Amino acid sequence: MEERPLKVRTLPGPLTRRPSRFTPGPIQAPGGTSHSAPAPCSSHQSVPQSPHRARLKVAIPACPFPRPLASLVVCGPQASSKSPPRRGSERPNLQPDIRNRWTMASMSQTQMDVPLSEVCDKYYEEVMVPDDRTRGRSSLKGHWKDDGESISLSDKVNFKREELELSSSVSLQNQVEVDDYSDLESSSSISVISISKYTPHRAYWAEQQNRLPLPLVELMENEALEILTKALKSELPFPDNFHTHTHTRKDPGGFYWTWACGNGVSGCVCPVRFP
Amino acid sequence: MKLKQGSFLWYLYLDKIYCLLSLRNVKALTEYFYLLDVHRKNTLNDVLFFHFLRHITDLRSRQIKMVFDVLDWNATGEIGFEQFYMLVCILLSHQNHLEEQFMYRHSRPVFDLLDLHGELKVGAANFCMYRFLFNIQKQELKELFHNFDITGDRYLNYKEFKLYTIFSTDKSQKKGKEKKTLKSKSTLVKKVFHRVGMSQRSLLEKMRSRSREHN
Repeated sequence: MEERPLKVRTLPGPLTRRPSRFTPGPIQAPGGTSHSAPAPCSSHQSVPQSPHRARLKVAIPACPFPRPLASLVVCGPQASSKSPPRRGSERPNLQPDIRNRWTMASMSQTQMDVPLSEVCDKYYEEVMVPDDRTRGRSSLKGHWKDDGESISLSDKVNFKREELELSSSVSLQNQVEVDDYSDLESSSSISVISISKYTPHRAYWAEQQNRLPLPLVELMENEALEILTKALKSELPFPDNFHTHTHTRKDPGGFYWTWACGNGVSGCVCPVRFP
Repeated sequence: MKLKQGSFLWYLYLDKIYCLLSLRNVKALTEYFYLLDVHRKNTLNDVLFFHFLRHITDLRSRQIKMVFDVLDWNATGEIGFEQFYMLVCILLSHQNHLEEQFMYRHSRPVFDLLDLHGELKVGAANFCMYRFLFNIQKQELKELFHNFDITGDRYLNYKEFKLYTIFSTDKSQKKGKEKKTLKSKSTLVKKVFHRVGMSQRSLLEKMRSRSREHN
C-alpha cells in the first residue's frame, strides 16, 4: 500500500487579540479563518464526500465559547519502517469503544484536516455525561484499564486471524475486500467494522502497538487529583487587580459557588459541589 | 522553565521534525484536560491553571500569571483546550531542547502569541518578558533585534521574525553537528590511546599538525 506523506498542520494561533481598548487586531481572512493556518476548513469542505466518509460524521455540539478556528495540530504517527506485526485489538466491548475514537479521528491522509476542536468535542460528546461524572470516569477507566480483563473469546480469535492476515504479503486493501471480517459484525465492537471498511493506515497499527502504558493513566488521575485538591484548598492566588475572573464562595448548604467576571462584565454562575 | 520529573507531561514527547504531538498523545492530553475540567465547561479557569502549572513546572507565580495572560486570547478568564495544547507543546519543546525547531515550525502562532497588542509586530519589551518560554537569553535577544530588525523601527514584523527562526534553527543544527564531531573525535582519541600506547600530548600534537596540513 502506498504511503502518501501525511499532511501536518500548524498550531492554532490566536485569531483576535484583546478587546477594543487595544489597537485593532490582526487582519482576519474572510470567513473568520485564522491567518496562521492555511484555510483548513475550506480545504476540508472541498474534498468530495465518499459514502464511507459520510458515515464517520458525528453530531458535534456547538461550543458555547468563541474559539479561534484551528486546524488539526496533530502530527502523523511516527510510523516505523517495520511492518506492524500485530494490532492492538484487546479492547473492551464497552461503548464508546476507544477504537472508535482512533478511527473517528481518522488516520487516513485525506481526513487529517479535522480541526482540533472537533477532535476534542467528539471526545467530550462520547465520554461526558451530565450529572454523572463517575460514569464518565468509569468509561474512561474502562478504555485504558480493562484491556487485559475483558477480552472476549471472539476478540482473541479475531486478533489471531488479523495478525496472520497482516503478516502476509497481501495488502491491507485486499484483506478488507475479503469476507473474513463479515463474521465479526455480529459480536465485535463497532471499531472492528469501521476498521474492516475504512482501510486502516499502516502507521495506525504501528502506533497502536505503542500505546500509553496503563500505569500512566493512574499517574494522570493521581496528578489531576492532587492539582484539584490544591486548587480547592488554596485561596485565590491572585490579588484583586489581576483579572479577578473567578470567585468562589461557599453557602450554608455546602455548595461552592463559582462565578467569572471579565473586567466588570458579569459572567456565569456555576455551582459546583466539591466533596 | 522545567517540567517536573515524573509528572504526566514528562512522559509525552514531541515529534522532532514537526514539533507536534502524535494522535495518541493528544488523546491522552484530552483525557488529562477532561480530568482537570471540574466545571465541565471545556475550559480551565485561572485558579486551576495556576495550580496546574505550579504543580508540574518550576515557574514562579508571576511567570504563571504572564503565561495565563498571553494564552487567554479572548480575555474570558479561562483557557480552552487549544490554548492548553499550545502551552503543552511549548513546555515539551523546552523539555526536549527543540525550542528553535518549534519556533521555526510554528512561527506564525508563536508570533501571534508574542504580539500582545495585535499590532502585527513584536517589541523588544514584550519579547523580553516572554523569552523564558523559549529559553532565549538576554544577550541573544539583543543580538536578535540588532541583526534582524531590518526596517529599523525597533519592532520585529512577521517576516523578520521568520528570518530569525530560520537562522536560529540553522545555528542550533550546526552546534549539534559540532558536538557530535567533537564526541566522535574524543572517542577516536581514546581508542588510539589504548592501541598505540602513546602519550596524550604527543598524539594531540600529531593530530593538530595533520589538521594544519589539511587546512
